Amino acid sequence: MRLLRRLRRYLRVALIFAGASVSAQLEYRANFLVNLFGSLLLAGGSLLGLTVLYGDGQPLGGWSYRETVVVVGLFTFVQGYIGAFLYPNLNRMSEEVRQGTMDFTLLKPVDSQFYLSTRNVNLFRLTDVAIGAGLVVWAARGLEGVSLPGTLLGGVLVIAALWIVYSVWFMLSTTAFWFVKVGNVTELFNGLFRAGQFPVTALPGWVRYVFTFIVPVAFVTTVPAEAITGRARPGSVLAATVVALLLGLISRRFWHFAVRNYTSASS
Amino acid sequence: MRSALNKGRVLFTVWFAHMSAYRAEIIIWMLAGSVPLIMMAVWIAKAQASGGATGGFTPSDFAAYFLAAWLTQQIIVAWVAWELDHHIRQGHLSPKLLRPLDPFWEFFMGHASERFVRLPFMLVILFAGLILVPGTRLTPDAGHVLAYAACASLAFTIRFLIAYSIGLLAFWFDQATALDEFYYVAAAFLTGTFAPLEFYPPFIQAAVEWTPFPYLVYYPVRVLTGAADTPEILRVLGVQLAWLLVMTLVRALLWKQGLKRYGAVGA
Amino acid sequence: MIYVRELRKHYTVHEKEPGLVGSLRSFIRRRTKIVRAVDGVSFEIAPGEMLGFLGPNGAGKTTTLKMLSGLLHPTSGTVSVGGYTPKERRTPFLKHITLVMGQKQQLLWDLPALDSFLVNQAIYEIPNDEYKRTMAEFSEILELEGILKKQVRKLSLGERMKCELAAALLHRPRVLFLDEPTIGLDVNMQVRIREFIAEYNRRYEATVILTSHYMADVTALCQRIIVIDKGCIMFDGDLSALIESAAPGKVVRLELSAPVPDERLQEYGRLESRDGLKAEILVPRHNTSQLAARLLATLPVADVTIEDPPIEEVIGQLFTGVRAPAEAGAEQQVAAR
Repeated sequence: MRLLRRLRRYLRVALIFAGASVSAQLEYRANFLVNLFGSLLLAGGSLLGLTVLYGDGQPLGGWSYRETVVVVGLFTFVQGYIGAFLYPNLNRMSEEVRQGTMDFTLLKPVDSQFYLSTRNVNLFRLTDVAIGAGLVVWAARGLEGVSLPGTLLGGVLVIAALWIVYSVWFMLSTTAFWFVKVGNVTELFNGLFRAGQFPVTALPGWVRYVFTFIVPVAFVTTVPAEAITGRARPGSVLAATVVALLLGLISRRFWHFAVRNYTSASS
Repeated sequence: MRSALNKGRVLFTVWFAHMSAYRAEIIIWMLAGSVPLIMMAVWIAKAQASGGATGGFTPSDFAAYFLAAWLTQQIIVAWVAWELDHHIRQGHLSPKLLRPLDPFWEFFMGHASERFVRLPFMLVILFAGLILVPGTRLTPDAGHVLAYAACASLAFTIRFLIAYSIGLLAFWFDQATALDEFYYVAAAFLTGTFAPLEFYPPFIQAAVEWTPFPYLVYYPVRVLTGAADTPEILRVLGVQLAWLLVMTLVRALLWKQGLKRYGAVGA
Repeated sequence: MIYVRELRKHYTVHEKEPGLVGSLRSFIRRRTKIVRAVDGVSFEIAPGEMLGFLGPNGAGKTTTLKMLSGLLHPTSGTVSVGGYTPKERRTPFLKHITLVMGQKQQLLWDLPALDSFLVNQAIYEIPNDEYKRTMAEFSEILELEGILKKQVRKLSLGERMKCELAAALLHRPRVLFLDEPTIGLDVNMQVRIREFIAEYNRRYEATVILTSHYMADVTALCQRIIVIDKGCIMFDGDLSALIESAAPGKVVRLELSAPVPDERLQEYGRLESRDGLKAEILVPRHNTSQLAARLLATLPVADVTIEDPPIEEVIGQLFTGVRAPAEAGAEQQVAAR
């Protein structure tokens, strides 16, 4: 009962945040068109890139063109998720530490990690989410291996993927407590995440391991795409789930550790 | 003339000192721009899978191409659109406007001096790349290296002027930085950092010739890898100079018109 | 030196209703309205004059200042500063003027102030010996010793403002536009900055236009005042004339040694406040001294002071037409010291 009440309270807070940040953005209505155009450009560019990569008709790392479109769709989807939910929240953390306004945040009577992660929504980046989902549906409809159970499993794995991305992003942002001046360490992730627009098997030997175990990009796009295209391997499904749970836990621990060591901007 | 040289020298030294204070951030930005390296991995795997070469490129050809592309991309990077947008909308442009020197030069010197902060790190990564993929070579010929220095400098100046012109649009729109993101998306696929342009469908190759994009990365890369002969180098330099002229005029026009509007955004 | 005729600046702004529904509505249809930030302002300023711009927030002070310095293009009207048209931003004009804004800075944040000075030296083409002379002079008056080599972000607000001012005046401009130059500084630092501006004006016969929220800045520096409200000039003239016309009386503050009924005090003027043995009486300006003499002779007075009413109050009266409570004004004045 208490948990449920707490959950409802947090949900309400999140909705209020979302409402406020949405109405702030409606002020800039040109943004909507601008973002829509940007999303279409990005998706079009990705497809053009695939056309170039498949120019010789050979499969890429064992994936056909259409199967890879599923990966590209998921990549676009996750990029939209980052742009809409993670970027507008977590990338303010270093600025807050720098200016000392983090003090206010830590004094709010809600969980600080929750507060920092839900304050803003960038409505317009949801266009990427929609286009990414559209690409996945379009590509999957023409594929033979697609089945209902596989798609459902894929859906679960997408949720795990979002959780992984959130945890990594949150941990990177938390380093702001120590590296005030470095600012957006998350740009590092942004650069490496570009590898996620290809199936991880399209990469040569050791690079593939880097993008699976050191930077878990494979679990974000390749593994869910495997499930959707009907080639899920129990091993990677299990690994994705474990990695998601583990990273969630570690990021939480890391946050508490950071807050304990926070010295506040005294200047 | 002497006073112009003196201004340039002072601006360069002071901005070099300023940028050096941000070296940690610069390294992060450098690593974030690693798309050409990811593409290098994908194309090398593809060449290996199709028995040693694809489209006439061997793995070490791809390595040389993408290392040069990475280097060029590092040399031409410009964030002045973002900076100008911020200056215009927050009113920080005002003090710069009241000095008897076009603010353009200060921004330009800031970017140019930053290249020299980058230089040591660029060389380290370049040599690491050359060693990591056996048999990879850039041109050993001093003439090509000199020609590359000229091409890359021109490419940087053209890109800087494009970014500057986009940033000036902040006099009219709230969303000038979004337009710069469009540029990034288009550039990612059209400058040659995704694939050598000969892999693109012929009509795209022909169309892109009429834009500045291939002259920012693709052609400078051909010069550095030694693929371009003297007539091609001369043609590239000529086209680059033409684009430089066009963008200079565009920038001057936007600047003149924009100043009339300055302040209407609450500076 | 400065000549302004029928100057206007109008903006178009969007209006938005509050709440999500209002946001959605203005997302679809946008309503605009015209704001007349400056609406037909005319004045002239002589070389070497120091002029104070007064007015409430949003009155148009800063907008006028920005048009005078060439940052904003006027909607209509004529401006001439030292013979130049500011909006053309010609190099000789820019070398002739400076603008200091208390809330905006031009120093490079991560470097010592000295580096920013070197940039300005190059940009304004200041010869080396002149640069050295000016620096020596400024260092002495502003006590810059020891702070020039520290990173700007490590300086205190006051130290930073001193450096900002030095950087802005390095090329020895003849016209100074100062927008809230002492904002946020402690009282000591305000006095120091004020003295520096006065000294600069004296030495170089520079023309100074100043806006400030601190009345003390204005009373200490400026003879002439322009009061501006809602984009129009309400008053232009001597500070003392302003006080005389707006406040025709003086305040006599009494401390009595024995109780006296209110009626006996009211014989001298309007009783502003009464608290036991303390009283404040507003007496007509023209025969203040006679009244004071009579008062001392007939009442048991322990202490007496005679002052002009606080200037905040006088200005406030100009804007509202209603007299602010005398006590509140007096407290403000004490706080401002």
